[in-house]
Amino acid sequence: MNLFVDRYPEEAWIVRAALASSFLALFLGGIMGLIQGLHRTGFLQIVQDSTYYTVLTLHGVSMVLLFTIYFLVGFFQWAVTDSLDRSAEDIRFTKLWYFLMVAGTVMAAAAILGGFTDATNLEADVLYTFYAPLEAHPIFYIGLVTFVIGTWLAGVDWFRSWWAWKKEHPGERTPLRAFMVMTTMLMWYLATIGVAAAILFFILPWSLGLVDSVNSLLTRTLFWFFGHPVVYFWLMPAYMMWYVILPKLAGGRLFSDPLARIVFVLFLLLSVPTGIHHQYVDPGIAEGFKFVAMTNTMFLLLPSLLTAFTVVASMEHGARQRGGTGRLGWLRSLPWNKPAFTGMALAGLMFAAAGFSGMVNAGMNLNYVIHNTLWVPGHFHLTVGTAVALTFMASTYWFLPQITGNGVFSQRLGLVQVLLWFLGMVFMGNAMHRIGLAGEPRRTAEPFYDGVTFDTALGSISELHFQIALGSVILTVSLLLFMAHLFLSWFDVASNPAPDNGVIPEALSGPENAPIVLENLRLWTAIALVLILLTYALPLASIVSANGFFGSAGTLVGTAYEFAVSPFVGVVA
Amino acid sequence: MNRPSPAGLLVALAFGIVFVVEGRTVLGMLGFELPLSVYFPVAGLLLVAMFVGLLLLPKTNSKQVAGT
Amino acid sequence: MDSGTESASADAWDGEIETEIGHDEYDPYGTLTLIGIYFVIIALLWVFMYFVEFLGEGPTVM
Repeated sequence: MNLFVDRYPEEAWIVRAALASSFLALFLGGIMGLIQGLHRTGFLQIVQDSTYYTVLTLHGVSMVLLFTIYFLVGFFQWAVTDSLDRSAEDIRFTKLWYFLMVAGTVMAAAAILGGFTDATNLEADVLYTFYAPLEAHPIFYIGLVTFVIGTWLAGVDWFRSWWAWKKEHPGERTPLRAFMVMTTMLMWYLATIGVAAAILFFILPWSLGLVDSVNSLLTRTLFWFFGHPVVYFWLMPAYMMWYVILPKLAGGRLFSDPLARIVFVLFLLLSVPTGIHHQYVDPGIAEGFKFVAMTNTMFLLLPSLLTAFTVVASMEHGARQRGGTGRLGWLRSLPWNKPAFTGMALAGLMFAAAGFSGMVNAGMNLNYVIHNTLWVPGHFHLTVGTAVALTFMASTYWFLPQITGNGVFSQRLGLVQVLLWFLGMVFMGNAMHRIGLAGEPRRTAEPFYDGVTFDTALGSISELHFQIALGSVILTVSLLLFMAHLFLSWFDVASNPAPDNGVIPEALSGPENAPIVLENLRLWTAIALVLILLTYALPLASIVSANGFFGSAGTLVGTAYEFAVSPFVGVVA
Repeated sequence: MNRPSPAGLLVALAFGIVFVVEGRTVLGMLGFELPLSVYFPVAGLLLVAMFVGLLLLPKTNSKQVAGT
Repeated sequence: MDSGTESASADAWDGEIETEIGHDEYDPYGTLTLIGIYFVIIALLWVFMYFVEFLGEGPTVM
């Protein structure tokens, strides 16, 4: 037997547990999404306006932290174990990081869910962007930190496997999937420095009452230090699926293994020093620093364009191997009847559209037009909400049999599901972008104000609101179909045999063609650190020297003293 | 040209709906703003007509099974 | 469509390959076409953006 679950039953258990947690979060977050979509467009308001922000926090945290990260740790565990062909070094350690993540999730979820009732003082209506001045119950931050530590240990687990593998295979190239996991985790370690510092040094002591105030610009900046690269933490696993699984599903082989490695190294280098592009309208950060962040962001288009080329070329290779011909005629020879393929291909198509709205977000002048409008959620519902989420869901149709040993329930039902997601997101994404151009704000339960009208360039605002509501209903139907289908497949209701197809074909241009320097992850991490220092050292120093670590004006030396001493003063008092 | 498989028809339908919805946006950008009550019946009828046309095509030979 | 639905074969590598195409005989001109179309769309959108952003001469947000 060639199935992952038969070769590595214990690792497959962890993968299944992570996926189950992931889909639970997806379901919860999806229902919250429906409530929001109908609430802010005025079609159905079942919650109070004040509760909307609890719903919004639950939606954001469930979708972008829990659903994505649980799925990717499961997927990475498979990728490392399968590509290095070795068991976890110590399965107890593997279980430890998973249960740490679960413990963190329970704490954070308790805090968020507490917002629905007045019976407790638990509350965390701080949205996914949880920087000051919004303040949550300390248990929310402790939960988040625990969750992140779980992911750190997961990375340690995979690095241990990789180091042990290297010892046994001196001079060999790291298998592509393991290479992608290592670069992604290195990027994640660098990115989470920001959120760890923000929570541990500032927000948590403030929420516990140890310090009276925080410098909210500092916590914002540290949040976005993490808040932008986290999107690549979701995107890189999706890219990995496009590079590794999609060519195989299309009946072809990856076009170029070295190009895929270069893309991942570029992400390691450039993901973190970009976060300030979320703060173009923040006063207190000089324009020049914003310009540097913009430049880095525009460079990040490069790995995505490289990906577009490599992935499409790999799909075309599959189509031609299956007898496809012509300039565009080969598109008809792709396996559109397979939900895993169709879902990923459509996700890629949506990502091409999202790339354009992303360029608008990243440009300093154009950003002013759309900043804090519904355009921005429109953008990330195409990226994380489709490029990543649809890829994850679609890949499940291929991936699930590998880890459960059961075939999926029905390929055709799966096809309907991925098409509905695509369709729902076209309606919702399109309408959100256009409403944003009309100036309607994001993060609000009631977007209408007396005396303010939103002028759309074309169409009417009510027509666009209808598109949002319709889109969110279609997306919910797709989500329910996915959950039902997942349940039927997981528990093998139809008793379908699992396909014996876990082998990934070799790339057309193999790893031996890659420059050896790509293997030197220490070098790339060092360069990434230098880029981060260049981008962040001066802005952070200027923020601190202007307003201190904890909000009061002072000199850098004075606030460093205050930084070291004031938490203890709080404890003593 | 042969009739697409059920999967092909589903994919075509999804893209058809997308093109109908976005078609109005594109027309608007070009300066032709049609009222909803005119555009959607016309575009919808065109979509249905195209679909009926696809269904009228002869069925695929048993040889070619995959894809559309 | 006799493949797919309920059969065990979930990807195209199982018996659907007509011809194996190696590294040297593969010429991805279809990819070139698609990427070309994408670049044309992006270029047109940037031209459109010029009209939205600069020729409107509306007040700047800042």
